[in-house]
Amino acid sequence: MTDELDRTISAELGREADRFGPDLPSGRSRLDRRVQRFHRRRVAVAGLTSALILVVGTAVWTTLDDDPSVRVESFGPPSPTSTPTDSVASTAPPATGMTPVVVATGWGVVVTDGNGAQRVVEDLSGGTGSWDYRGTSTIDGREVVQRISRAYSDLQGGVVYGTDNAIVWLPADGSRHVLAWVAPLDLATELSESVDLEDVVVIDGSVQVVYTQTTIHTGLDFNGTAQLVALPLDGGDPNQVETYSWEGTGPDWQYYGQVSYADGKYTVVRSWNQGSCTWIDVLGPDGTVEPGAGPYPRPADPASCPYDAIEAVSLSDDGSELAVVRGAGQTLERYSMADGTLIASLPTALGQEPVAIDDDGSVRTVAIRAACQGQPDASGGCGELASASIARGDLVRAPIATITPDDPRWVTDIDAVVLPN
Amino acid sequence: MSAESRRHRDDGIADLFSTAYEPMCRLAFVIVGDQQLAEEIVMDALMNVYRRWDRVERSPEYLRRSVVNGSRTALRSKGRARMKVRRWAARERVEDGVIDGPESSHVVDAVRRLPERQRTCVALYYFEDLAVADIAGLLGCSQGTVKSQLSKARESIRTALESHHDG
Repeated sequence: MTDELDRTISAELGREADRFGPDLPSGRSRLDRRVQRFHRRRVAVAGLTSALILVVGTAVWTTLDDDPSVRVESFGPPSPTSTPTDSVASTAPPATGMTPVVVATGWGVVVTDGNGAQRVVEDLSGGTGSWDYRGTSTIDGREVVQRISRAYSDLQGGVVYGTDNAIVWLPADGSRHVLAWVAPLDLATELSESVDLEDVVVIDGSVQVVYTQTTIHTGLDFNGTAQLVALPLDGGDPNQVETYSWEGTGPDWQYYGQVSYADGKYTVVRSWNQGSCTWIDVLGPDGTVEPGAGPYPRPADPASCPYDAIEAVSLSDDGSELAVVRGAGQTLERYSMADGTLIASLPTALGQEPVAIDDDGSVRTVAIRAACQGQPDASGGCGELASASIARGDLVRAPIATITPDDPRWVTDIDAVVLPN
Repeated sequence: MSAESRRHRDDGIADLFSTAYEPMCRLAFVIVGDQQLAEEIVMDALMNVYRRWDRVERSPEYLRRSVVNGSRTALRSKGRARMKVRRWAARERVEDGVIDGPESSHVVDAVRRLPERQRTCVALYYFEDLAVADIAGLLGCSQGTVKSQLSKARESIRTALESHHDG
């Protein structure tokens, strides 16, 4: 039986692999462009060495892409605990018409207003014709992959976004600040690091960026450490809200969906065993888990998980209510944080994270329907913004992107939504 | 880097691409189950080799290790979000009545549901046809650990297939 099963597994995996025919000419073209960029970057970094000597204490970010010109901008020391030091943080209010919704793409930061109109606030695209999935930049001489995960239009009129390796803030004054970054991923080593932007919130009157930083040592088992950090944009000290480590073959719980903050509490979506169980932890400001708090507390035995998949959470501004996207995005729910009771539920089939809740009197909730992965959907676009109001019990859908794959602004990831202030 | 050195490196990476790109993409695809992601992982791995050419010149072992580590990392981090997108896309196709290719088999479905560690061992053992000792070397663990992961994986796949047949 075992021999027969072995043969079956081998044969079926071989057949599965045969379904995949890599586009060799396209792949070769992409490799050539990556090689060319690598050499241009080497030259640029060498040329910048003397400038770095003069600009002691600052890092330099060069963005090359396929454009032979090199842009060099200064920002604060590139470490997780750094804050911008070289330029005054903008406190200008959002410009008139500042967009309420920000989405991130694999190519740049695109801001979308309430009518669906888009504008690119930072174009990370490179090249023409065939396209790379992601752009790259060099920070302090090291390559950073620009796979944007989230972007936020912030209260100060800027945009904050995260890549695999950096959390970047673009204030309204046009300057650029790397708030946190880690070494680029080295796929062949035993170590990988990443930073993930989780939220932009107001804590004690200060606009703060909440992100996670994860270090993983590979091997057959993943051993790692993760930190939840709240970093003030005004230059205050970072607050290491929570740190946890895991090792061996034990439960590999980790941050999974959104982290939301309000009224001194964080809500964190956790996953266990690669998402086989998800739940929502409620943390105090010092990172202490409040046992049993919230509608989906940590189960006693994650192996017998009592919950459907939890995709995203968002606390209302006063912390009294929690919006949850659950069941692979099928249901939008609204809970009381006081006693965890369900206030309302709306079947949406919207898709996945993110979700945002706004207590403007009507409790409006917005979710983004997932973007497709490099393939246009049936309407020729890629991704859809949908608004669901539990209070009104309605669901409004509108396409937000009709960009074609040959457009450098091609939307490959839509991850974040920020409601109008 | 001299012009001659760069030419040597460029020729070498072109050769490596022509011989290894497709099989490495298939290996990554078996592990992560996503074509675009698989190609990204292999592209990154090739650039790893290119950057370290003086040390790892044309090393298929280095490339494979890079691809496996990249696949596992993708499963653990960004891959989660991507797989959610795939789930959504699959639901859309079902709703639309659109089938865009042959379905994966029940065996493959069972493999895709395995924990990442078991899935990686299964891909290397059954698809790459590596010996247990080679897998242990690649993943930095003991042969006994690989054997136990493969044993658990077989049991899970067998149970899944029996459940399907009974259903």
